[in-house]
Amino acid sequence: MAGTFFGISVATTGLSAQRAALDIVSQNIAHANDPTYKRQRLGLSEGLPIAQSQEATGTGATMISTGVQAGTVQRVRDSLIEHRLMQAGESSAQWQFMANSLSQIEAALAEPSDTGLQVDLNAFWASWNSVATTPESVALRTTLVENTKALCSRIQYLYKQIGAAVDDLNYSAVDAVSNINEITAEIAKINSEVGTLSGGSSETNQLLDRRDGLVQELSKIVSIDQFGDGTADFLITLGGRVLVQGNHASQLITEVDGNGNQAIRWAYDGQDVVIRGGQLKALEDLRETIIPGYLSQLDEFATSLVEQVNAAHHTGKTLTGADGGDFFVAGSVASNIAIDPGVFNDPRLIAASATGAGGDNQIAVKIAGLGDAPDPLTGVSINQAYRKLIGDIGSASSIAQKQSDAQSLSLQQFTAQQQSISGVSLDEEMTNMIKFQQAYNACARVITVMDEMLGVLVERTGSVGR
Amino acid sequence: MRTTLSMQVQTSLLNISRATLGLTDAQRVAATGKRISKASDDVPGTDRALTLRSALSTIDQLADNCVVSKPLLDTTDSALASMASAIKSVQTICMAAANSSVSDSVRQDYIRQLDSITEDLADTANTRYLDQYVFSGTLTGQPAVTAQAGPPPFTYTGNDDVRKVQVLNWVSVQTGIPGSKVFNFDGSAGAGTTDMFTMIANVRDAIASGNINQMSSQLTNIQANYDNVLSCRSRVGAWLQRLDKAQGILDDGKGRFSELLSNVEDADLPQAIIWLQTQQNVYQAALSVSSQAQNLSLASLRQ
Repeated sequence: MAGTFFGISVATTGLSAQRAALDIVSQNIAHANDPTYKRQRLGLSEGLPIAQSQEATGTGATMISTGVQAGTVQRVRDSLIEHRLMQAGESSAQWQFMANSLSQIEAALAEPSDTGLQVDLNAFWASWNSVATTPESVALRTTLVENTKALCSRIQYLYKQIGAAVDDLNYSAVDAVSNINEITAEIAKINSEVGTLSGGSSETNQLLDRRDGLVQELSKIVSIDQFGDGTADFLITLGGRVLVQGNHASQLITEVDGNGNQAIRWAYDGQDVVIRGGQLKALEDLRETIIPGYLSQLDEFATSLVEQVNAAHHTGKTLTGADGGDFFVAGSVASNIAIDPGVFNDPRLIAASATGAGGDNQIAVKIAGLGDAPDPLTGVSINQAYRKLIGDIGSASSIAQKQSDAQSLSLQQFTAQQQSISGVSLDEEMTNMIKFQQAYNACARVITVMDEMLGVLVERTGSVGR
Repeated sequence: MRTTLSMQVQTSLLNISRATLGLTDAQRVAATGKRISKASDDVPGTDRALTLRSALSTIDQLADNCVVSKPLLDTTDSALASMASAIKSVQTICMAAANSSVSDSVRQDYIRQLDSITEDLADTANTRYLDQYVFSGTLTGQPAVTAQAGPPPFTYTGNDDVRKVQVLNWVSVQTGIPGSKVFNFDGSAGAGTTDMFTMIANVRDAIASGNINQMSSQLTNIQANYDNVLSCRSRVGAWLQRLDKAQGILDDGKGRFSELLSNVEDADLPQAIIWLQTQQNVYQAALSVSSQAQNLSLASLRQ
């Protein structure tokens, strides 16, 4: 049976519960701008019921609650949306990385403009044409030599610049691995700390929020799979192998592979990490396939230029009447293309003539027309080969940018969905604040009423005997 | 759907960010006047732009070829005119000398004139343009004719090759005519004709010996050589005409290709400015809407 002060006791539990709920409102408002924070709710439950006497109710013995109990503090979240958000984050980061890297390569090309390689290429063909108009002129031959030197330097520079993107990617790989190791170590540490705290507390929730944020960050770097929400059952796998399990994190390392690239491997057995998505996937694709493809195209362009010009040059005669030799250094590719040193030192060795006569220009005319002549092996002209390289890079960059935009939009939508569930609404918190404040006021009023009732009982009853 | 503070902030940021991006792009287009600044802006457009730039470079070079070739042909033409005039003088002297009443002193005078004409003709045959002997075929570094002791009095030291220069992608023009043909060393003036220098020597010999029949017989040879030079000159004239025509085509082509390149690469300026203005308005609207939306909260109404 409830005691005399039972009502006050019940109202007191109400005061405590409303105050605790207001504390949570306060915390939610304080974290309103924290992107990893998930709004919290205090679970309220009834106190253990006790039997009420028959006299008090007049209907027989019933059970009455002993008030309200503040239960666990819960994080409001939807794990399915969070999983999708993680996947969207992976794709968005992957395409953004790809788009940024390709954009840098595009900037190195500087096409179409008045400063790109095509300008040097056009000047090269134009110089041959000039030599064809006056093959006896050593001045025009010298101009051709200088323009050829400029073209060679430009091709070498472009090759170096595109190649430098691979070096940048290798630095990025080392940074990314260091970042992954830091994040996984932090996640393992959080798991360890969460294990020592009681579940459902605000402190535990903050750690779990932090862990969710780290997992989200990690998934942007590399595609991972996450299992379990607790601590002991918490598991992150990377390419089918365990990366984090409970309070243990596996380390990754980078080692120079056969191609001179920083290969990403598991520290414990040196096996290559299988990468399926995230920034590292873009990095791997760029480093292993895309950029080497562009370098190879640039090599094919340079080789075609060297071989075709040299082949025609060999059929000609120099201004001194000797047989034409190499115009470019034979066998040179984009990285080391250069004009033959003999021709460079003595422009008279340019074989513009087919007959040996100084005024004959047949070979110069032939070479001047090679730019748009199909390569006998590939069927693609030298000018076309360069335009194809520009088109391929531009196309890949454009696709990557569009994909990046699309994935970014998808990420924003999932972020909005996640925030819709877990984010803090100030209006909602204000409403809750009013709700808990009014409930607190009501509980206080109940205590006042109880106090007055007890006052009547204590002060006014039995006054006859005084 | 539940709307939270961070969603509002995120949406505002996204809208402002998009508006900024649009404004930056509009500013770039309006400031540079270029629609394409990198290949990925318009991949097919870039390919067209590169092709057109290459074509324009070729047009410039072909136009340069015309400019360089024209004075060479002009020099050739004027040398041929001079040769025709010299042959005409020889013909006049030959006709005048083929008369029994011509005294010895007059004949001597004719001979001196013929010697002078031979000298001038040899100089004309070795005409140079920018250190190139124009009548030496492709052996432009050496004189076309060299005097020698015995008949013929001059020998042709050039070759029969010709140099052609590209003036349009599908047209190349000969920039010279070999002396072997002009001076008739190859007999192109017809059967029974001699080279120009032998022709003058023959006339000289006939005048010196007073052999009127021999003089008369040389008149056919003189006329054939004259016709041959005129024929060469008309060819050179045709090539000069072809150069002029090519220059016209190239000028026209340059205009059209430049316009095409501009259509591909350049921005339509009025459109770019209107777009810039629109983007500025969008940006201002995004800022204004965001600042107003952020101010609305129950917190500001709660006392």
